[in-house]
Amino acid sequence: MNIAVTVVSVGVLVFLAHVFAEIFSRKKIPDVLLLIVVGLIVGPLMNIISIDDFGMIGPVFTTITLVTILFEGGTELRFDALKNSLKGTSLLTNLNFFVTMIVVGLIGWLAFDLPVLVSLMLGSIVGGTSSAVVIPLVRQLEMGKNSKTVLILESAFSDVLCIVFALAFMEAIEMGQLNIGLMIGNVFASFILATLIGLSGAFFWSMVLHKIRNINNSIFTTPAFVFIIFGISELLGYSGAISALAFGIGLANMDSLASPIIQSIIAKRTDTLNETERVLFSEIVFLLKTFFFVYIGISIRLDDLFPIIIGFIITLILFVVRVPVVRASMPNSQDHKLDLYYMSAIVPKGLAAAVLATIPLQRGIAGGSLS
Amino acid sequence: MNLTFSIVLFSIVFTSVLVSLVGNNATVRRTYELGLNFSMLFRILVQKYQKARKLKKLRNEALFKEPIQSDYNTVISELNANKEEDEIKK
Repeated sequence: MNIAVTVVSVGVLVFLAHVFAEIFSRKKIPDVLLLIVVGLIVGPLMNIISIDDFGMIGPVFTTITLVTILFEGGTELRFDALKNSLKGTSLLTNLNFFVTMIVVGLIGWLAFDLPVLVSLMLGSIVGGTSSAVVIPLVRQLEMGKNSKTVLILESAFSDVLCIVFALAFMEAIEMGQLNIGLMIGNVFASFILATLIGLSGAFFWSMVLHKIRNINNSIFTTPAFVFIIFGISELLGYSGAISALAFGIGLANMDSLASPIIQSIIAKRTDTLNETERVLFSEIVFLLKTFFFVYIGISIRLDDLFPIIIGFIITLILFVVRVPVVRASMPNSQDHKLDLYYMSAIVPKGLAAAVLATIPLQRGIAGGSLS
Repeated sequence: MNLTFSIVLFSIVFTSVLVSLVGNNATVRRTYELGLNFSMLFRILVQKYQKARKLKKLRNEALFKEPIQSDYNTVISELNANKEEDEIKK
């Protein structure tokens, strides 16, 4: 592809993204969908660009997008909102994940005659929701603050469940036995330690932030530090996504976290993000989101109809199942009925599912080519 | 892999379409309301069933205890009566 044409396309895409955002605010047609359609047109439909053209850059780009979106999403969450929505979040996250896993597992087992463990592995891969889709989407919707927080946290927490359970099922398939205790232990370790890493990072960063600001061109050091936190957490075997989110939440709520007693002990001033930094990060997320969804559109393969039809049917079932899950998890309130409708409609799968889906084939697990 | 990718695609498409429809379309809102109410109805039915079962269990326990006690009393009184009759005969 001609470099000049590529550069022009990037520019046009940014303008298109703004047009799509305007369409969303006026006509309620999500920009996410329109961006995917652009990706589908230039990718599988017109073959102008293919997923192979991105090489190793593709997965790196999607990870950077995820980390940045989670961090920026975390900076928007306040502790009081978190406290109010934690119960609903844990109920919704767990119920949605396990119901999805069982439903997809049953479909795989009964309809495709897959072994039970392979079916459950498939269910756990698609059990979560995508932060990269949920966070930008709920921000543009007129919903209650608590409901938004529940959906954002669900998308972050469910990734951990997906990764831990899917990998545990893969190991169980390879070893021929399932260790439930180890699985539950991994979930807790990943949640708690990843959160601790994120919060410690936020605490450290808030102490040095006012010094960092004195250095020229240092505004990008905050996202750079988030990448380091994410990497450390992943290298230690915990959830980098949770760490990035916890870092964002910690940094935005440092005034509540760092009590006067702690501040007097360490005798250092803690700082949080200023308005310029917030605006800049929001702009970065907008750009990354634009390219991410076009990339998703490009990466979809339309050459084999069978998995597409099955995927369509499974997705349809998952959207039906979501309604009683939301009903059971959230309190019945006449004031927040619209929030419940939105919560029932927002079940997008994303990066975690796409990445996990590639592992069974790499490991040579039977049925991996289907999942 | 293709199956998961297609679920990813359709879930994003469905979410996008449904979100815009929930915001604009009254029929979709009504459908969701029905779905949520149906789930609520289901929850109420389950609760009612559980309550009824508990009541039935309690009633059965009560009934179970009474017959035994009454049967026991009857048997004892019958036995005593038989004993008295035998003694009289003797």
